[in-house]
Amino acid sequence: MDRRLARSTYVTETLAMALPRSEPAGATLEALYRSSRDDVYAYVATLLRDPAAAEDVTATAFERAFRRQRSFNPRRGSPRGWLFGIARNAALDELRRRSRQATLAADPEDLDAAAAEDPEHILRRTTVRTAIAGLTPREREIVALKVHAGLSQAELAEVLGVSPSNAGTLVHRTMEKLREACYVAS
Amino acid sequence: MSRREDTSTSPEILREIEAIEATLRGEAVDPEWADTAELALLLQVERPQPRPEFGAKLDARAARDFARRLARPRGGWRPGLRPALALAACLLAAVVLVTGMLTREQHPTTSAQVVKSPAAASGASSGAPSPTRRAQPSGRDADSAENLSIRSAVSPAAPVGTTATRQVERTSSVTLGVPPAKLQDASRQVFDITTRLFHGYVLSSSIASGDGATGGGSFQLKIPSAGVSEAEGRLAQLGHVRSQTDTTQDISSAFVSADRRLADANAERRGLLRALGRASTPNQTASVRARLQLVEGQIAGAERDIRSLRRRADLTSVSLTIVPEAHGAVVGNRSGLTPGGALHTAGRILSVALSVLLIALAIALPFALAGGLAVAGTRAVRRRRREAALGAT
Repeated sequence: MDRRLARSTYVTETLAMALPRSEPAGATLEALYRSSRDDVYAYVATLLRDPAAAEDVTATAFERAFRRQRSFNPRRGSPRGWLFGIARNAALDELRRRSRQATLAADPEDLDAAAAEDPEHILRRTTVRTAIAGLTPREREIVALKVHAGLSQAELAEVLGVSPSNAGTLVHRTMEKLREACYVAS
Repeated sequence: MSRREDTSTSPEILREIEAIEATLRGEAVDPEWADTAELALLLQVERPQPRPEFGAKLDARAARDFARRLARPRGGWRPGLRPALALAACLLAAVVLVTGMLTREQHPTTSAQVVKSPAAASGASSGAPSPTRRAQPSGRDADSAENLSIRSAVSPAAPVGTTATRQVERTSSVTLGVPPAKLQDASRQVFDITTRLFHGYVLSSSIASGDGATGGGSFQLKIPSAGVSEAEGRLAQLGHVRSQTDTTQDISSAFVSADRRLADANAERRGLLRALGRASTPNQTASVRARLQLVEGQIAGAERDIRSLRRRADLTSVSLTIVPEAHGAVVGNRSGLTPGGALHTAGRILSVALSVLLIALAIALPFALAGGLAVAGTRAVRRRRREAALGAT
């Protein structure tokens, strides 16, 4: 079991209960940072497909979150949804600024490590990477938010600005597309 | 329906999402969802991981931010304060407007006094009152300037100037409202202002003391024209100016006519004196003397007319009427505050407060609408551009 993933999922609910009504200040904001740092990076990196830019944008997102913590309104969603909304805006601002498509981050160490893996597993990973590359940016974002960042359906809806049922439909369609790309291809 | 309350997601999609989340938590899933679980795990493997150096750097930065934020005292400018400050500014503007309106309502002659002030100042700077009030009509308009009746807001001195050819007679009628309790004091001050401050005199006066509306006073004042504007300003301060009428009349032609008669009579007198010197018979002498007596009578009459005209020009007749007037809660009651008066005052305060609030809202509403539209428009454009940026990748 991935402990970090489990933490991301459960901490969301804990924070939602623990945070004050008005703002995620002080220690609670720090807890949000600790629990979400890697998830935010994963989401931003998937969106930008540029590790260096993802680091900058992640740092910017947390800076904005610190600065705007008073703008958090618990009636409008969870702290995690609020944070990912900020991260999303920062990432999209970066995309606008650059106006160019970054190449998919391919860590050479991963490839080296992959070489030692089971060939069938390597094949599956390659297939999945190809399938991900075939997704639209919006669908890649769905994968990043749902699988990489571990957001709940409600949080996903909050970040994307859609209804929860719409968010569920988007996840379903994306998975369906990936399933077709992976299993039909193999 | 809110997003949180949305329960219209189909059961199949919900089960699929539960399967994904269970897989990511490391829990077993129904064999029906084996493909989805495997796909989720494979996708999870592709999750980008931050470099340890970046993580450490961001942690240090965050720790600094947290420490600074915790050390910083609460307060200062908060975004929520901006609307409150804007509303306060609107309220302030409304208060200024209402105050201005109330002031104008209480002193309707303020603008006239401002207009009059240069004339008053020139008169005051010359020390003693000037012997005549001069006027400067524009040539052919001289005749039409004979009779000028100008009401309160227009300065009586405005259409006339200061040349040596024009004589202007001025009369003024002022009605002052004064609280009943201050009638006596106001009457005393009328005398003071007229005689002591402006060296005029009270031609006649009538002061009636009584309770409430029965009291009052009327005064016929003669005030040197050079200082009459200032004197009227002083008188206006004694109470609430209910009405004021200023009238001017050009008496230059009468003055010129009298002057000419005097000159002619003097010339004739000189001629008669010469004739008297040349008279050789008693009859001639008697005849010239009789004629001389007649002419000297004409001279005296002309001089009397001129003096009278000069007096009319030099002294302005001010007809001042003082009437008792309700003032706040002391209407018709010298003893002080009464429940009725207090109710009246409270009603007035509330109506003024309501007026201030309404004006503030009238000021704030267009700004709020424009600001709201601008903010909404900016957000919509920014959101669209962001989504476009995502679609362009």
